[in-house]
Amino acid sequence: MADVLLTVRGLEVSYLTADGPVRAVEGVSFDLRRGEVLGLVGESGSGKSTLVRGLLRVLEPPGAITGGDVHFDGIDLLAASEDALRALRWRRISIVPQAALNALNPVLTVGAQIVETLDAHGETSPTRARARAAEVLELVGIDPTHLRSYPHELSGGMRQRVALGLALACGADLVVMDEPTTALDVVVEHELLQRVAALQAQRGFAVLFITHDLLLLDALADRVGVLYSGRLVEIGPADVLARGGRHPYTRGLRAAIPPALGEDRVPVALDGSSPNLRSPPSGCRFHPRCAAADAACRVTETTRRELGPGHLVASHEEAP
Amino acid sequence: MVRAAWWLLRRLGFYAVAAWAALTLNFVLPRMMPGDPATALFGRFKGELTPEAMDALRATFGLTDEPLWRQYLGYLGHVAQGDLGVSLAYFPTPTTEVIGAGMGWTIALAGVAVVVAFVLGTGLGAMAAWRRGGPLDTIGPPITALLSSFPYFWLAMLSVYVLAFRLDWFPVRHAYGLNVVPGWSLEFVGSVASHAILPALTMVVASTGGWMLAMRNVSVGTLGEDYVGYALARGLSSRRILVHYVARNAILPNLTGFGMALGFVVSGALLTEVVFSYPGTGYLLLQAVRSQDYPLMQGLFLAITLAVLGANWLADVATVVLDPRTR
Ligand SMILES: Nc1ncnc2c1ncn2[C@@H]1O[C@H](COP(=O)(O)OP(=O)(O)OP(=O)(O)O)[C@@H](O)[C@H]1O
Ligand SMILES: [Mg+2]
Repeated sequence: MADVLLTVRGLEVSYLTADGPVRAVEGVSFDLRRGEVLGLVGESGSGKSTLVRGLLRVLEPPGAITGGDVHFDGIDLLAASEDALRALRWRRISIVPQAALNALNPVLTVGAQIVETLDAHGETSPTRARARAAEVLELVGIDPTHLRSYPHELSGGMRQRVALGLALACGADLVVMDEPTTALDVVVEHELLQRVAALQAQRGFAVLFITHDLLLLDALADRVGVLYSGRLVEIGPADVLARGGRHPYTRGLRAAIPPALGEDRVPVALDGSSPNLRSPPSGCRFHPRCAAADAACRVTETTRRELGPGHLVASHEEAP
Repeated sequence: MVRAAWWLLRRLGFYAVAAWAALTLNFVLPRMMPGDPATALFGRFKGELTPEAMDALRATFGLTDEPLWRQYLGYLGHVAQGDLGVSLAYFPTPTTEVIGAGMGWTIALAGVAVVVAFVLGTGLGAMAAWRRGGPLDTIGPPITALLSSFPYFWLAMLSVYVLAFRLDWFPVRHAYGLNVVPGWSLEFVGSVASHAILPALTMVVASTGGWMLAMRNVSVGTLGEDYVGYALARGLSSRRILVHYVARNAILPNLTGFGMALGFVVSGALLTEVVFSYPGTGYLLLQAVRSQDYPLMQGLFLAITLAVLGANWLADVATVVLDPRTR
């Protein structure tokens, strides 16, 4: 399929700690098409950031990729040399980080950080780089006078917009967003998401959008994947998942969302907490929290079944 | 910007108070000594001290029959005019002149050595952290441990004995050759440089490792910061990340230590100057103690205090310049 941009197969990422490896991501497989918005949702600690860092090869030790394979536009990312990776980074794949304050260098101005990024990707003229940096800020609705501001002088929302501008500065085909709105209040979050949607529609880049907020993906994503304890338990078209999804965990997430105005439903919080990755539950990892779990769930691993076009679920439940 | 200027002014005020406290202590201490220090000294120097020297000594301590507060004001007035009395060991040269000459040599030797060691050490430390477990990171710490395990004066004496005395690669003592006329001549500058190299080298060798370890440890923490990983993902070059991301940030906590080291140059070079008979303030301090030259001692203590305070203030300024968050 020529329109597939990113292929991930059986990706496994572990933290090689002193008391043995912690498998934070395990057997994750999915495709991402050009210009598509894929949302990945999961609780805190489900391995979202680990997955992103693993597939972009920016893991810090003790993190390491321990299996699987990742292809970007036909290039084997896990086998690529550092030089090949550097050529891909930002010009083809860019990131909007979880917390822009920590991701921006505190001792350099915003302008300097945009300019150095452009400079690293072939912009040789300093004057042109500065002009382009001003355009980058304007694109995300920030006054270019802030080129001379330091990260700590901007509000949280502005910093996150700077990060978004930076991610788009070199015309990447794939923009990975790791909870770009987590640190923001709802109003600013809404504003940023609208900006993302508008820019995406206008420029047509693909987005891998990571979040812990399922609701947020209904409007934004074309497809949605659900991550639980390092595994992709369900992935399917956004409208299918918006109607509830199939995996008991997906439905649990949905049921926990407070009802919208006029909706006749009582929110049901998901019991328990996500498992400790050092000693994960046997069988289906979700069984200790699953209302439908039976004896088989405790011992046998789940397999992925296709329920509809592009809709895959890994659970023990029988198809209706 | 304005906030930073205010902060620096406040720090300056704080240092001014500290300097005033040191001055006052300098005034009070001799008066707390049992009896009259001048008379006590006079007893010890019986026959050696001329009446003029005796008067100079009394004047230094401000020991007159005036009430204490007038003595104190008079003392402050003298200090403000740079008048710290007359040295006994170098009688009748004013103390400030003696200290000034020594200070020049010390700053040129130890000041340069401290700066070189800091620049070298922080550079090496950042590189060791960058290539964690690499060759530099593997051999650096044990060598540092080895060098710091034997006392500095031993290192200095060994190098004098082997490199200067035995091999005759360097001059053994003094700041310049005795047959060279001081002045801005090539000969003089060359002589000064050849005399300074060995002592400076021993200081650099002894202190670079400490800076390297400190910088390495902070840098390892900095490498774990999100902005380093993000810079990598942005495809910035390793050099750019090492210099502008790791080193620029990791150096900030080390600036205070650098300020201290710079301030203590004036007294801290004592061992070097004694071993190499280098005519700086450390050497003067030893002379002053040996010959019980109280005015010179007092002047030197004051100079050391002011140098430490001044260097700390410079470190504050450097922090403001390098860390925009303090502005
Ligand atoms: N350096 C590390 N050493 C050991 N385990 C780690 C390390 N970093 C992360 N982990 C583990 O990996 C798991 C996944 O972490 P990750 O940061 O990917 O979660 P996340 O889904 O991004 O969470 P959040 O929503 O809080 O950002 C966690 O359970 C965490 O304990
Ligand atoms: Mg995360």
